[in-house]
Amino acid sequence: MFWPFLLPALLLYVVFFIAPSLASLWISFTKWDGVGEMRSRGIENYKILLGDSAFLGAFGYTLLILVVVGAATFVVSFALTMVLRDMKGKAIVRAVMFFPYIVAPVVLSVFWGFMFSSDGLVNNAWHAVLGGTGPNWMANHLSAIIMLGLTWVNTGFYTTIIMAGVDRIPPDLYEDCSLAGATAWQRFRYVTLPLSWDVVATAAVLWTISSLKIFEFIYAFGGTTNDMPPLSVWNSALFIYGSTFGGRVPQYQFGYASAAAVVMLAAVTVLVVLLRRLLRREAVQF
Amino acid sequence: MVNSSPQGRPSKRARVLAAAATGVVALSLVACGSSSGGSGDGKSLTYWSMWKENEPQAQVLQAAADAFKKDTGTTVTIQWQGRDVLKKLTPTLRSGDVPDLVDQDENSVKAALVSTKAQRDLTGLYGTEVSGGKKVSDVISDKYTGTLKVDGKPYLVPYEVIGYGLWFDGAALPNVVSSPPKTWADFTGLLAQRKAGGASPLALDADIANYDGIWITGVLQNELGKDKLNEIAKDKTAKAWDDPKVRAGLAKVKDLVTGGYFIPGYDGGKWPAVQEKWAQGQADFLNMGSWAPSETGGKAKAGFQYHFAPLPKIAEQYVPVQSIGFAIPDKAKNASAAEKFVAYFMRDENLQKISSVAKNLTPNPKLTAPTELADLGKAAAELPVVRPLDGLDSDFPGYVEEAFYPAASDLLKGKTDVDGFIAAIIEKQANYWKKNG
Amino acid sequence: MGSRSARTDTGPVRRVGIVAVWLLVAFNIGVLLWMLLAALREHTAIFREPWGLSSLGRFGNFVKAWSDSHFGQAALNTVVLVVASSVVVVAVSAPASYVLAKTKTRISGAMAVFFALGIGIPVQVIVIPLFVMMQDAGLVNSLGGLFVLYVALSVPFTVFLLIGFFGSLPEEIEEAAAIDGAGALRTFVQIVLPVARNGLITALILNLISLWNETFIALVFIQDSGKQTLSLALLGFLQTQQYSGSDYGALFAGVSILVLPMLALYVWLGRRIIEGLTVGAVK
Repeated sequence: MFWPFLLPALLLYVVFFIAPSLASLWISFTKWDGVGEMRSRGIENYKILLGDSAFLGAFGYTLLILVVVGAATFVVSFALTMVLRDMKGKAIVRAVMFFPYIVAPVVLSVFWGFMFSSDGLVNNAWHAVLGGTGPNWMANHLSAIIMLGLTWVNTGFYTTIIMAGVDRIPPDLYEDCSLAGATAWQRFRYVTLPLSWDVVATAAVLWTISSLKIFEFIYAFGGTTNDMPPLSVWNSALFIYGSTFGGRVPQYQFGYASAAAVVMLAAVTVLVVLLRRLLRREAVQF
Repeated sequence: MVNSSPQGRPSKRARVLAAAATGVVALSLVACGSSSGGSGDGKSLTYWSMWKENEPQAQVLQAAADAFKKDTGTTVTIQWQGRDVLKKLTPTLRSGDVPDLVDQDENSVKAALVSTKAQRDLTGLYGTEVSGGKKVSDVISDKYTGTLKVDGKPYLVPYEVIGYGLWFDGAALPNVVSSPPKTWADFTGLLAQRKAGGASPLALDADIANYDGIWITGVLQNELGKDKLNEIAKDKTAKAWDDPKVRAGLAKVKDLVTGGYFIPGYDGGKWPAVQEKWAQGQADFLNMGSWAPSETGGKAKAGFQYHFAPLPKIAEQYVPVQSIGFAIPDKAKNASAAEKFVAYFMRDENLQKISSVAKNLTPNPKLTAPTELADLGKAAAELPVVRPLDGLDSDFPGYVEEAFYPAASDLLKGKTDVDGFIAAIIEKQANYWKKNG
Repeated sequence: MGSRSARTDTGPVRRVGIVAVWLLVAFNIGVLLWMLLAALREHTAIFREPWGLSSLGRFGNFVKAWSDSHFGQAALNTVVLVVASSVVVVAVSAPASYVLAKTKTRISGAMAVFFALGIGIPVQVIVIPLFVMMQDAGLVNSLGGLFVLYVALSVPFTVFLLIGFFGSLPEEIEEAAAIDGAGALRTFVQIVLPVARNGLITALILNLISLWNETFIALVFIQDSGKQTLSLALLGFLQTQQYSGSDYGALFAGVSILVLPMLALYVWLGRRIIEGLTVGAVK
């Protein structure tokens, strides 16, 4: 039953996703404005990319988000899952946690702006507690507050996924452990983690790949609906958008943008393969 | 061991899925078919507009389309696509299933249509009669059409003109209305005096890089003269930035920052927070395009009188202007019908409403400017005009985002000085040309 | 007794954790409230005191947002489109994920990675080839075409997510079914699917949410305003803030109109996950 089960999804995926992606791979070896003739330029786009400080900056920021926001999100999500496991009002808490993920990132971004602007909530609190005026977050620490915001948004999502995995663990297992005198850490280490490992591994890979596509939350820091945010907080998705449709006067450089996507995707493929290998070996130990 | 669901449940779900799937197939069959392009019979045309239905410009254009239908029998089908109209247009250009008429600002049209050589040459349209023996070219000031041509052939017919400069409340600053600052020294003197009096002289939402940029280009245009900045940006090594006159201009901007003339918090908030404060009278001058009155007008403090002054003279004095207008893709099937509609819209009775209803400046100097923009209309008529950002955004796509804005924002936010600005832009401009050269 | 000791042996850490959780909950509710209250306030008041309550009660904001952006038709389009595509994508992806999770061969592992990679491909890059393709098929500017795209583009994420869920289902379930002599299809439909209900619902909700908010594909592929989706209508509305007068009260009202249905859905279906948990899986 392998192929009949697989085929419908595979067909849809190949026709509507892989085919145009292969077309884009082809396009990445050309200079193309999306309308006129494609002009073949070999690996020129790739050579330029590796010397383009704008792209390298975006590449670096993408990886920074991947690692920093990823680590923060998973630590917080697991901590929440542990606390929530047998807490009263769990259903409500989970629904509320998830809320930022539902809201259009534009709104969260506007809200984040109100929070961190010079006369915002954070600096009012800063003033009340520490005195002084507090840092200029928006001008000097934009990248950090964006990462904080992304952690906040994603925590609900990953908590939900991890909880769905953890919740499947039969409660009697925990009771057995408690009777055996296991500490919270031991229960986490020997029951929760191994038994939810598949879901955690899935979530980790999912984060690695989907962090590539983080877009709206950062884009909204451009202010209006057609301004790009500062170059210093571009990730690869913003770079690709900026090279194609973005900005008040778009560049429409589909060849170059495709090359950037190919490079990013290749880098993440390597990461995912490594990550899967790492996670699989871990899982075998239990 | 397994606690499965009651029998029948999965099949019920399967039925629901099947029903949903068939419904969607039916839906797709019904919804199939394309709206763009049209039949090419010349009796109808499709127009994709940058406005949304509820905007005043849309009402003006819709009224003209209705009147056009009555007078000529030609139906104009308008899709109010909103600002992203050209993002929708780009994918259609390749196949040719395009609308017959689009509108946006000149830079966007240039990037989407002209750079891909997909625009129609509008020379014929400029020669078409509007009414009373006047041609389209007769009702548009030459001042605005200079930048709307490529190889001498026009690609855009403007119906709205955006002008850039200093906006202020005439009720709060009556002296500035009667005698606007003429020189840079006058200007900084006025700012110092206002600041000493406890006011915040300048408003700026510094998170919008474009607004940071127009401060610098505005000053440098007046310092260096028209198109000089554009020349500097073409320099592959970018060393042309390191120039005494450029430094003098940048120092003027830097002095505004170090002088503390910008309202506190201008660099630490999110648009439109500062613009709102300005409209509430908490700051004096806002350097912006002529959408400033319509964007803030509905919510400005009572008695706010919109007035305009161009940036003061340094070596030169200009008004940066940019046109919004009609363009026709060369593959349009009803191009001549579209041209007739454009010529029809340029009639005084239609175009005047861009001023009276939509509160914007028209390219026809004979038409009265709206009260809010009266000063701008006067300045644009008297002073020479330049392109906003000296055309950096329009001539070199991506240049402002990747090279100019990062340096400009740092200077305006006080995070760098003139030397730092020049060092940063030399590095980034060289990088830009390395990949686009 | 057992659960009692579980609670006491982690006393202080757990108490801190619980406080932190409730603080976070309060923060999120605060954000929601802030948005809803801002949607009922007057524009200048929002900027004068973002954290205040002055000028509360402007229900006209909702009327303005609804009528100015033609949300009515857009809401209908979106509900039909998003529900249909989410259901279909889960229906298509579930069997594929199941066999990929349960077949431990080289090819199934490679396939899983192959699907996963699709999650990382930015649509901006494939949109032009996709457009050419869809145009040849006559599926541009049609909700049917958008449906096909939504289903296809959601496949990688859904397959990937469900592989994780099916993978962690205990093997005994199918073994038991096999002993009963059930065929693969019957095992899947009658035994596996009900047990994996929570995973399916989660996948369904996540697809509903992401498609509900999807803007870029709709922007490129839908050309008639009569066919636009809610997020597209909202984008158009947000854009008119530039040039034609910003009104953050109405802006937040528009956003609330988009957000509230998803919030209600999540609260409603989120509970079903919990209910499903008590009957499903292993005992």
